[in-house]
Amino acid sequence: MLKRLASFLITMWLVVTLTFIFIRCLPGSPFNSDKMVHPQILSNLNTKYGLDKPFHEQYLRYMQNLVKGDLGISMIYKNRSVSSIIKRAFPVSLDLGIRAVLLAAFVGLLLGLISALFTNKAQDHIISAITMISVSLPGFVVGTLLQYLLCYRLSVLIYNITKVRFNIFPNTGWEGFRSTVVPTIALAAGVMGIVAKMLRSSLKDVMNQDYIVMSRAKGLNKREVVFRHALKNALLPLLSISGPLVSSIIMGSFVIENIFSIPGLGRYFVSSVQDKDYTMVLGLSVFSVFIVVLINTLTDILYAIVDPRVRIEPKDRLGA
Amino acid sequence: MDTILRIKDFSLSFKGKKILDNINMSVSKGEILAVVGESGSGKSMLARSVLGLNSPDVFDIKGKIFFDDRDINSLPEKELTKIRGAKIGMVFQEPLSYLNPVIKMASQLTEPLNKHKKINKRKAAQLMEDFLRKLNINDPLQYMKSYPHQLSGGMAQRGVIAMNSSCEPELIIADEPTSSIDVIVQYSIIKLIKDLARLQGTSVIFITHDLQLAAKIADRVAVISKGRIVEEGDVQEVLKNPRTNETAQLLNACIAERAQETGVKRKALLEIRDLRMHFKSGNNINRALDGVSLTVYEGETLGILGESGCGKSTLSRIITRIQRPTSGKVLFEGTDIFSIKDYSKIVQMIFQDSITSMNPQMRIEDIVAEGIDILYGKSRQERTKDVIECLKRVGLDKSIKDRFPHQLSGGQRQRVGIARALITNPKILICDEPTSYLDTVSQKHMLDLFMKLKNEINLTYIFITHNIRILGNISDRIAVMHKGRIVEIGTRDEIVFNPVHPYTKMLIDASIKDEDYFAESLFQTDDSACNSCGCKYHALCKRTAEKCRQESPALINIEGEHFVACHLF
Repeated sequence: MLKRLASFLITMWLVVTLTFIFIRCLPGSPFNSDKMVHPQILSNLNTKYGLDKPFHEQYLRYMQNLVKGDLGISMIYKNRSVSSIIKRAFPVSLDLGIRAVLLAAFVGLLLGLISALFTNKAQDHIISAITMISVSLPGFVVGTLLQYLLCYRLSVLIYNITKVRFNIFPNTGWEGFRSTVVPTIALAAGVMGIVAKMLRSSLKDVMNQDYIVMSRAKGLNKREVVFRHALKNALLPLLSISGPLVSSIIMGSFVIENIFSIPGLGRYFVSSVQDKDYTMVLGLSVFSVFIVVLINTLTDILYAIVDPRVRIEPKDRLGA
Repeated sequence: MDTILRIKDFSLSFKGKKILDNINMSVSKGEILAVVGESGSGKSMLARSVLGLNSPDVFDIKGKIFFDDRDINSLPEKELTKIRGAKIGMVFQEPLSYLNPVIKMASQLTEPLNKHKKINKRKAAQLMEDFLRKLNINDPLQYMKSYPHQLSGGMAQRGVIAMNSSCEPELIIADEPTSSIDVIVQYSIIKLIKDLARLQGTSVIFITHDLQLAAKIADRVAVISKGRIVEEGDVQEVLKNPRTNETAQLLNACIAERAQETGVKRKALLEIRDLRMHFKSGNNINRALDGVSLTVYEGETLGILGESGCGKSTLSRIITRIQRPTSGKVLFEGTDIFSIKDYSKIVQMIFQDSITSMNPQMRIEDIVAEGIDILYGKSRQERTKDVIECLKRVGLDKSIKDRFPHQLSGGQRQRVGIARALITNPKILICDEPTSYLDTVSQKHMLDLFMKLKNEINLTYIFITHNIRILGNISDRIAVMHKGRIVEIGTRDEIVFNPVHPYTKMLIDASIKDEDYFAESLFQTDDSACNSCGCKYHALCKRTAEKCRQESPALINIEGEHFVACHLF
């Protein structure tokens, strides 16, 4: 555990330092704009945010504040602290992310299971085609396509049939269950395909193992063999990549959030770099490292629960 | 006698290739039938066919298998699941790979009772615990709570046997149940199967490649070769007068001739001084090595004999520098091995399981050449030349270099393993059970190869095994290890024909004489012996004196090169 904490702190330090250096290598500053600004105002601004100080001094001051848990004040959204922005926007991203993770896991596992059990039959081929498409299409294509079909064409269709103006799935926004459905599907699609493909191959692999032959020799039927003996083993490789997958969904939703105008954290990732909002970029980096490490730790713990072989055993082997 | 299994004109082919050809045989109630054949002779496929495990979608099946007068091949899957595990129990070769690694023993072992006898889990667990106790497993409760990887091969195999006989089946099929288990446990497993057959009136089909082993357990034997039964009859008859070449060959492989003696040169190559390796596990200290001192002379073959868990593999890992010892030293020609550069030019290792020790994505050429890649970085042509030469030396064709490990047979892979070790021109070769996964015929070829190489390039071998028959064939000196200590060391003849330590005596007895006495003495005591004080063998020894419990005996010289650690001498 101590080792984990140390590696977390080192990762954190590296990310902060590198981001600190790189963001300042970009040309321009947070206060550059199209309008002509009086040099006096610019220098006043620089003084206010401490940008007139030498580089190393700025770095040390930022690190001091960071240790106290202070992420600083945004340089673009004046008078708003970085933590307050994260606090307001992240729950929306997290909500969307968790929905997408659950959907991807459920549908992905189901599809993977079906295609493994019907290897090289019609079901398998259909599912393979679906997963291939969902893995290869980029998020912004899936998002726009689903938005067009489910939010717009569907409403038009309903109007043509019933002559009632009714939006089942609203185009944009983040209010009520109906508005969450389409973005969740769009965000989950890619990972769902990966999950289905991996489960298919690992389940097929496990079904060729000796202990599956044994469980059949014991007289278990196919359903019992799959659900009691094969599935748990087949989930292991999935579980080991679930950390990166889950964090990519939760921290990587900015494209989908942009398409559906969802007030999540995603857009800040892009805008803060464009605007050279130094404190915001740094704050977001720190935050995402924290989340990624947290998720990876959780999945590692989960892995140890499922696979007894990776647990640290106090006892040696039994017997001779 | 009632016949419970009758196989009639049974043939099995896979993609047009015949695996089993016109098999006719029958098993009577309570009878033990041994099916003996080399690996690849189709004996395992026969076993699977009896359980209906070979899907007709994949295999071309002809003929009939009658069990209880019902044809297995024409029964629907649903009826088959009622026979498997309930009426026919199956025990496989490697228990650990046939147990589900992520499920506790308790739920795996109770499955047949739960499924076939509709006994609820808790009740089934209780029945199973009683059953395990009957099979002489010391702590069934702890056993049931374990996962397979926490058990040794022998312990796991007992569990598998218990599981598959828990529903009192009419027939048990045991497919090489002891081939991956060391000698000592081997006999206890055989006795277990024999007892079960007697106790429950179960018939047994015992599949093996070892004709002598078959003789110990079976009433009748069927010799199978290339998918055909070539000989069948009473075990003793077949053993005395083999009627076919195939049988004679199998028999010869078992009683391999002893290799020629070679004079031992007296130059100390490797000196091991008071080596200790302690693993902490919770509050216990596991003393894998507890003061081992040993000298290896140039050009000799030193055999290290011991059961699993005696520390022999730990010793090999330290000599190869994979692990550092807790204390003690290993010196090569006077220098501490941990300070030697390019150590791979001096010591190389050959592993037990060649397939898992080779990267499946590398071609044979790259696997073999890795040793010189690291040392020298030779040009392409030179590298290929070296590889081909090494492959030739171990008796492989050069075309093999472009293949991948999975495309080779077990024997070929083990040869590649030797070539891989030889390419750096090492002085010492450590072989950790290099033949235990091979059938007796390939085993004999492999041992011949070891002897040939030794004469060609003056290698020094450290040969680690539990199989005293192998050591009797090839080694100059034998060191017997027990619980992290050397209890006896001497020349091969002294150890084999004049063993002094009670433990060595027991090992030798087990391999050549009747196994029954031996299996029992082993069963009752596992590791009740105190871990650090006194002679570690005192709990098992029949001649224990008070002194044995108090003081740990030192290795003393009794004659010539013969040393023993026992208070009785």
